[in-house]
Amino acid sequence: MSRTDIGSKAPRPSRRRGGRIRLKIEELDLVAAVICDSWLQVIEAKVGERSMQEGLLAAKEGAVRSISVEAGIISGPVQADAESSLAVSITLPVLDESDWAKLIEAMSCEAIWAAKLLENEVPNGLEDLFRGCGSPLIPCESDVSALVEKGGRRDGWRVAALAWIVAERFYRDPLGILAVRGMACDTLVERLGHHRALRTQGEAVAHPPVLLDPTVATGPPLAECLDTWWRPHGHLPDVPLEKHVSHALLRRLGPSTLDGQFPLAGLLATIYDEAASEAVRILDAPLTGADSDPI
Amino acid sequence: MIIHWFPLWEPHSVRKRGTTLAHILHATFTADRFHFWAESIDRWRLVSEAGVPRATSEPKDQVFPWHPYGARRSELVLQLGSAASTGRDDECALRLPRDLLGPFPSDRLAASVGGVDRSGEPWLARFRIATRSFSPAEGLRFLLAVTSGDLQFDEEPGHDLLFWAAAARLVADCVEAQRFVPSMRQGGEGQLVAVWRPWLQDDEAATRLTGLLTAMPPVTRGVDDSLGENAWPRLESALELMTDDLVRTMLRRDEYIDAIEDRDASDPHVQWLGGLLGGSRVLAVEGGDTVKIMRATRSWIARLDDFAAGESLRLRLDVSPPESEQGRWHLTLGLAATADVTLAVTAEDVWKATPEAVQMAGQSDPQDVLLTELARAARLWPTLDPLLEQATPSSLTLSTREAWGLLGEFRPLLEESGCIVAVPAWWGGKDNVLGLRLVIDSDEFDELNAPPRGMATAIRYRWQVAVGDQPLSLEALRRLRDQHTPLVQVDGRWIEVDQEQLVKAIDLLERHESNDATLLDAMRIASNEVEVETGLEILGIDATGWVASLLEGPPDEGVEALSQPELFSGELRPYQVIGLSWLGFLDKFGLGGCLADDMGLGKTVQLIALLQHERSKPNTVGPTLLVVPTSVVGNWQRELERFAPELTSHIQHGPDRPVGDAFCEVAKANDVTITTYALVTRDVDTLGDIPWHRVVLDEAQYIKNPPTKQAQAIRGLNAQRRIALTGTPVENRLSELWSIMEFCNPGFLGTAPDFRRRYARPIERHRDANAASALRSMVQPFVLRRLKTDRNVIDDLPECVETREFATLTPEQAALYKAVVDSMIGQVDRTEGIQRRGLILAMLARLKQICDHPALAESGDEVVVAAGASDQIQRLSERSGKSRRLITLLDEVLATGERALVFTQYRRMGKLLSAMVEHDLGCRSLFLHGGTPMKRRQTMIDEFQSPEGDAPVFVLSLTAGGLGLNLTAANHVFHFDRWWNPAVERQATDRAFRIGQTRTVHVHKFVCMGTLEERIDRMIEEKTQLAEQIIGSGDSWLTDMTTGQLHDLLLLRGTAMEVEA
Repeated sequence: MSRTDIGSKAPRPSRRRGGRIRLKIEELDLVAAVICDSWLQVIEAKVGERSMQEGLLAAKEGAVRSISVEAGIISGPVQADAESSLAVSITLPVLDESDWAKLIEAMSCEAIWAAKLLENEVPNGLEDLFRGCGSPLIPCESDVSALVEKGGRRDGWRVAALAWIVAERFYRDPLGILAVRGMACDTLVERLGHHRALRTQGEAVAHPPVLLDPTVATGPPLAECLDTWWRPHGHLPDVPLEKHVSHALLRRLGPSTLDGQFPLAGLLATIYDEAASEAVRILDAPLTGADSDPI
Repeated sequence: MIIHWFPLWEPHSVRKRGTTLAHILHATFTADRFHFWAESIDRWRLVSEAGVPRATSEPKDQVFPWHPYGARRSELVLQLGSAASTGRDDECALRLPRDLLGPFPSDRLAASVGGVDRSGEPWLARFRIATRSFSPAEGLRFLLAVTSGDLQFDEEPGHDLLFWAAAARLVADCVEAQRFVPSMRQGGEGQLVAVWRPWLQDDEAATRLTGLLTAMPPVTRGVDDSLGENAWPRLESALELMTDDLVRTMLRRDEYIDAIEDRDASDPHVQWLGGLLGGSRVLAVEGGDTVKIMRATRSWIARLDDFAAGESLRLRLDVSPPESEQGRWHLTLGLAATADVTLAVTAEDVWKATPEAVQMAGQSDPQDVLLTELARAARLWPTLDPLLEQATPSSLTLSTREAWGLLGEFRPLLEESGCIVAVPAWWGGKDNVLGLRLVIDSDEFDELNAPPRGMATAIRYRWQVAVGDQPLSLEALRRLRDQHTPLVQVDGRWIEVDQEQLVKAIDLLERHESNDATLLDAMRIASNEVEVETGLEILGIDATGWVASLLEGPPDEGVEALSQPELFSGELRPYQVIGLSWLGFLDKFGLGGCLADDMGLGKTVQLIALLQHERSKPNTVGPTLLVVPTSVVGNWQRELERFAPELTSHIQHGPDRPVGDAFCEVAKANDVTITTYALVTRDVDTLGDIPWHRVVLDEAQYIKNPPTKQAQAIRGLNAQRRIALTGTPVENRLSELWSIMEFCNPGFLGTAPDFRRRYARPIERHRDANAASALRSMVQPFVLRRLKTDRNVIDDLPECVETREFATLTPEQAALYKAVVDSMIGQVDRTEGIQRRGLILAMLARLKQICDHPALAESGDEVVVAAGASDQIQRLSERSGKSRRLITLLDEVLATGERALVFTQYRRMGKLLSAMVEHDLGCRSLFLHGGTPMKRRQTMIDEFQSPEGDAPVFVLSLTAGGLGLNLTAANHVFHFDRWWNPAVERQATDRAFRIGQTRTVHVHKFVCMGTLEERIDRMIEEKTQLAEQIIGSGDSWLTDMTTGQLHDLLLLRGTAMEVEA
């Protein structure tokens, strides 16, 4: 494989129709669509205007046989002659964890980003936000490279043809670019939710909150309690401990949902028994130990 | 006749008895530790006298002042002793109300010193507090130790400490009941942290939580830390940290971390356990796995949510047994209304959408609810799975074993999860489980001629296995064993059979057909050994002969009725004659007993009548040793003189008391020897030399702490018979009852650890009615307790009972009294006319005040604590014989849930009394005096009269509270000092004894023995000519006496003084 050269000769459309992807969306619609326009501009800067036009025609004629979109690389075979095709790939850098952390931090400041992403819509200003964080959503031309198997100077149209098909993908699913940059939209939404939880609650907990009367949970303002500062408000509760069947909570929990292999329930059952015995010992004789306490 | 020995278990607030105190101990919870600190009473006194630097605002450099009377760390360590060793020296910042004079003392400190008046407008200010801090688990242990009596020291616990102790108790209870869960938190940096947390989502915990939060003293929220001032975040943090630390400490100690050694580190279970078992709580998880593991944990724990929380309907399972053992059990599905679970429809109704089902469902879709809940229930109890394979499940048949599994094991789980399980009414009843009955054969009551041997009397006993009251033959038991099924029918009644227990019971019956033993051995076996051996509960004891009479208890039929002794100077009420007969009955067999009648019912006279009764027989009776609190020595002497003047008594007290042979002679020459608890320990050898006919303990709760030297010395006395007198056989813990019974009938309730395992722990912790019933039936023959509210007792009691309460003077009081008499008598002699009269009145007032409390003789308003000989600060109440006696009596009043009025002539005394009540008894009191504004006066009356009011003691000055008030909520009236005019005292008494009063009113008139109080009281009682003068003239008649008469009246007699032992 060799790097493509800019400014290649116009392709001859293949006569075969089977196993091909044809560009169906109009050129003007694509260049006007968010994400697509930036993508096409970068590719045009890479292969030149003429190759873009030739690639457009070739894409419409079905020169691209198939397409694979993965994080950091888009590839697919593009027609060579009537019987064969050449492997074409476009690579662009994947954002690393620190880049994504910056982006998530920025996006979690406003609910609109997560809200739009949840609706599978591109939020206004998404590209600006990426750019503002130092990680453009569509990288600049210099960061994008293209390869054509056994390619020569005139293979730019093949790269362009693949790029037009990719643009059509982005037209239908503009957030697909996120996966290309290293994080699928679902994952991003999840991480945003998690980050939001941290921002709003300080920390997240696995157990449900205890529901209490807000007045009781807060207590009267301290400034109003100066006369009763040291006193309890009413009697401390003296409620007997009910008897519960052994391992009641553990059995209600049932098998763990954590998808682990270690026998968690068995170990927890032992811990529950030992902890209960320890509590009995402490209640009987908190400091001296039950054995030395005669009653 | 209704006989009570104790209702079940009625805990009162922990009351601490003692004579000295140095600090008020506080507890503060900061973000991760418990801090213990103390207010030093001594330091407070110094600061109060010297004054403190004034400050009007907080320093700007954020360095707050040290608490001016906070104890130093070295003092804390010294006071806490070895308990402090696990802590570390520390400090915390606490906001406290203050004024220009400095921080306000805590209410406990104020009460300890007789009240502190601070008129300045308070504001909140920060103070640095020197503390000894503990990890949450060590803090929990310390808190529980302070409140359980495991730790003995001179500190008084503050309300903040008691609050955190209640929180610690909640945590320990949760862990004991296995009501805690592993969970995790995500920290601010995104890392996961594993935690052990109490499960607080169920109704039981919610009730306690709400109670705790409501009671939370504001001082606990005044901490200057990240938890802020809201109540719940601080309490939640404390509860979680205590639970986590308690469980984790145990796991670390037992090296549980080894369980996951060499396990796959990427396994989420191993990752979570890594944080739960080890020292580090952080999970070794990164990136996306963090979210995954958090979500999975959350959804796992969410399974504990109430099934139908928020739903108007709940799944209902109705279980019904078959007609015969061979049939199958029937389980019917249905739905019940959450608001009223008795409103239910069957699943068939639900599927047919009958009007009843639709109406009950309201907005819900009943079919959806039924299916959803059924699926959830099936996860807990897989036997329900086949129902899910049906299109419209409505019922299921069960094998007997499956039904047993549901009734015993799965029902509680399903119910905890919000499901209603309706079981046959007989399930869980005592008549439907196998148990053991002990059968004791003894001679007939009338045939007993041998000398009484008490618990050592020989009897024959055998065992029966029974279902309720119905005994089963060995043959029937073998048949049950051979059926190998957990639920069987016996004579048409379903019973639960534990095969393992059944085999052991059969073995027991085969091995022990009939045995000879002492009564003590048989009772001991019944109380513990066989239950441990077989696992079967002991349902009761059946007996023939005199043991049957004993077990049937005192009263009317089984016990030979005695009549009032001829020489008794007075008249016993009918219930007192029954008490005497009961004492005589136990006496006949040499058994010990506890007379635990309510205060005011006359335990003393019943005992005195017994002493007379046994001396009415021709046989010679040996001496009785009476062990009493120092404050009632004189009382006993007076009562013996009054009701049994023919009995001779000796008071074994004071530095000149006889010892050795001299004491033996004195003791044998007298019918009764009276001594004190403190002396028994000291003179154990002397007292132990005498073979006492009987030892009697008055206020037997004094030996409630079994390990104390005092309790051990008393139990070691050589006595044929033992009687305990107490109005509160159980004040704080059931161990107190054990201790009293161990005195009365040694060995009867088994060893202390056995008693704790079998009775104390189940009853105190779980309110176990079966254990309480078993204990009651064991103890009932030996404890007689009548309440004032018992119908027969009420009928016997007059509407108003008046008692003199004789008190001694403390050495401090006596010295002051004598000094005043000595110095003023001379002055009186040298003056005449108005000046003389004025001097006499001033002297009388001063002497009466000294009889009340020595603090009244001091100038100033707040100098009310004094250093004793050992430089320890005495409790306020300990400085006066009267106040000591009052506190003892009020303690009994409060223990029975009653309320009291306390009248005094002196406003300062009223203030002191109010403070003493709050300090020594830990309850609120009200104080009404001439300066109380009219509006506040009515508020106080309303509060006292209200059943919800939490101030059961109302202190009133005689002039302000003696007229016009309606205070019928009280049925005890204490006249702390005397007006000498019965009409004035009666008017005060009438605040409680008036229309609207439904109970007997007990009037207690306090008299200091050997002082002018006793002499004037006696004159009034004897209606002398002088008394005629007294009545209606206040103190003025005294001013007309000659100096000689006056001297004779005022002279301090030997009986006045409480002699130092």
